[in-house]
Amino acid sequence: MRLLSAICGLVWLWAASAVAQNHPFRYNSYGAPGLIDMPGAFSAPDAELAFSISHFRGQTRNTATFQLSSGLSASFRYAALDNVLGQGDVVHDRILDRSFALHYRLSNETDRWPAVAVGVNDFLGTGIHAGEYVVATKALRSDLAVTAGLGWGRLAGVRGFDNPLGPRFGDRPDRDFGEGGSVSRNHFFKGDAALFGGLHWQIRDDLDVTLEYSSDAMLYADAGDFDRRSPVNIGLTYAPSENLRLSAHALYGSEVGAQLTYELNPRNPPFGGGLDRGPPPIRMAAGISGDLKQALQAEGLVLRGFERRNAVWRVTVANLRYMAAAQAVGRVARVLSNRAPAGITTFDITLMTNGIVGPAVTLQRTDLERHEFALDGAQATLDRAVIAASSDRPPRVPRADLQWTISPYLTPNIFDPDDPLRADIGVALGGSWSPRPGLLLSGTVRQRLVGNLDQTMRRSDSVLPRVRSDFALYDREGDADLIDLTATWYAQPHPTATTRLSVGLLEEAFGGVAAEVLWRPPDSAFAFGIELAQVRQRDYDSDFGFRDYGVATGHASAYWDMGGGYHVQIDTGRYLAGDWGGTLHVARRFRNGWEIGAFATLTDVPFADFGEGSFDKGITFSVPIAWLSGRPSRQTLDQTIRPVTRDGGARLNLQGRLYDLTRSVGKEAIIDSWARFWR
Amino acid sequence: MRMLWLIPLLMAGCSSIPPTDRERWADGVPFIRVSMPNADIATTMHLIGQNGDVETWESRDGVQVVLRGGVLVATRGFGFDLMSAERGLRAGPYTRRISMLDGDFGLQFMTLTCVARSGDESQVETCNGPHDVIINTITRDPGGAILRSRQWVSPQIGYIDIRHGP
Repeated sequence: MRLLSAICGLVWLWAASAVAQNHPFRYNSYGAPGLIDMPGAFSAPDAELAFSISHFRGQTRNTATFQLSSGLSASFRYAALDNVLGQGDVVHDRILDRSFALHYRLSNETDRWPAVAVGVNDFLGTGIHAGEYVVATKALRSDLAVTAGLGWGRLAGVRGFDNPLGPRFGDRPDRDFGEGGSVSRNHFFKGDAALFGGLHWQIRDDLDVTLEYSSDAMLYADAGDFDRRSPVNIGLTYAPSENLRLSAHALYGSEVGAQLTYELNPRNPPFGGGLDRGPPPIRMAAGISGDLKQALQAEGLVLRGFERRNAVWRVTVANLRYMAAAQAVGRVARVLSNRAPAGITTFDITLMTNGIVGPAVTLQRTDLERHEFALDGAQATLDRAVIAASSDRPPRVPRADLQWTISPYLTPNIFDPDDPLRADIGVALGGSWSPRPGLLLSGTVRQRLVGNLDQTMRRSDSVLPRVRSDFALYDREGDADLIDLTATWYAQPHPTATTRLSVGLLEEAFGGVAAEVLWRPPDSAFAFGIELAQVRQRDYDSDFGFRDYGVATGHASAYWDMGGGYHVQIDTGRYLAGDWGGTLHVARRFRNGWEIGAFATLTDVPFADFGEGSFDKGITFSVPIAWLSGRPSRQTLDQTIRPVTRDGGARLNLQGRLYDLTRSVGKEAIIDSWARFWR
Repeated sequence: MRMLWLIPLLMAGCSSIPPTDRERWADGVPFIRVSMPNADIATTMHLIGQNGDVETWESRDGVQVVLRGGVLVATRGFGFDLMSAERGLRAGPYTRRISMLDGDFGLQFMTLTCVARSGDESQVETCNGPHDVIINTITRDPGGAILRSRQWVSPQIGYIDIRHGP
């Protein structure tokens, strides 16, 4: 057996058998930090991502919760509710409801005072779960905590009393199933209030018991006839592994429920620092053969430029393998160090992607030899490195690049009320040819093999140009689909300014011309860009045909790196349906490539014209393949999840936008990953 | 809402790239046998580099151990690797700092408090760390050449056994 594959198995074994940690918190049946149905004043460890499924009496709640910061968590929930009492005493057989929630710990627990948290549940959806709360939790012993809180809305269902916030908060408007989606601010903390609370006892590391007093009247469950015999709920949770919790609930004196929670943390990859091959040591023992190009190729690096200038070797390299830019720089440094003749004292290394270069990293050869195995060799090397932008690059190594990939794909269609589980499975063939750095010809063809997306019967009722809501027709029509076919020209007129011009079938639904310019001032947290496009909607059968609808679209964008991994992007301009407005995208980025974010777009389309959901919003995430597999790779799984796909606030789905491209070779990317220089 | 999941094929191509820097399997290159007592696996590693008194040994699939005077100072490719370590087997009680990669491209440093004892055949380094007591054992022949050792890598990997010579 190869050592590497054995290590794979061993690490998984270790992860699975690890004793569950004593978390002083749990996720409630809404997937938020809390007791059983009630919230609590505690939080998950920072950056934890939890997926939970809970079920009882015709209600299933699927929730993803992300601990955005140490105090703030956000949840996105997709619930299926059977037999629900709706407005005007109408009973719905089934409601599929998407909703968001926020939970914020205002203060930490002290010796004398409890932790206090505040939260709003279901503030963007239809409001069926809508409730707000202020809650306090205090540990009585290390294994026992008591929680008490004040709830509004759904959390004030029984034994309600006059709102302590005063008469101005006395009336809570009726819930409105309507289009949903708009922030129901005028409900917040309104109407009667009620008390709730409970106890959480961690019996063993892997076993805990929760007892709660629920203030939820369960008014809408079971067609309004829910048998609520008791306000007391009891939950038993067993954690078979560090990541998994299984709970059984006894609810309201009449029902039983179950819950499964899976937790992961982007900061804790299953394979630690990764299973990447060891790097070539500096001062290889023997057997140095092949030229520089081949030696770099063996490390997943492509030589794009080379020059000897006096005692300096200057190289430009494309990094095809490593998520950590500094790891690529480190491996280049090792290969150069093993091949440079005695007279060479200095290496000058620049990363390049699509013809765009980052700053040059200048390293002294003696520093590499001295610090390869020093305790803090990475920091010592960085302290003596110079990283600076330079417009003078070594001459190109001529090389045309042909790359192609073939990969299976899956296109699940989620949130379709007719059938929430539809998908196609097929094969995607992608190819790109770069006759010279900066010029890229690329295309993607997809062939469906099996699936049922063509059975999606729900048709758009949009009153706007149907720029996105006709997506089902694109799935239905045509056989092999030409997804995109473009020629793109990247240029860098100045080290801080990059441009892109794309022509062709830009994406599945639009073709035309798109131009972008990005300015990244050096050592600044800000970057600014402009994108303009003239596009035409493509035919549903996804070949070279076009429909009648054409539009000029474009945005001015500002990017702000807030520090601590938080990033903000604001786009303002004209969207695909011809609507004008702006998008705010907030994301938390991890240095290892994980990214989790949320966005909202408001345009001049009235909520009523927009349709269900009122405005465009969603969550985005990006998971590096290397994190999942342990093998080095620059690939990521990227996904945007929208509760509803409508036509307002829609942007082009373009490949290779400049901000992410320039970031991958930039100074921040190199410095942020420097701990991997010697990896 | 329709999503697209491209299922990336883990590039089998990675291993088909000719390992030009790795063609060091000629006869006569020194080798060691490395095994993991917890996992019942073993592999051969060849000496592929020497920087001062630090030797890098590598298995055919790219897993490395790095030894300084027989003492483990780094590993690569185990996943939870020892990134670097101060010199071991010193006189008197001493502190020995080591570093490991965390999951978010950062380094974590750990301080061990160690004492080394020399017997007839073996040297034993006993260290107190934040997690556990670590006992590294190095066995030598009467001439002083290292025969074998058992050394600690990381909390997740535990110990590896290294056997020198044929």
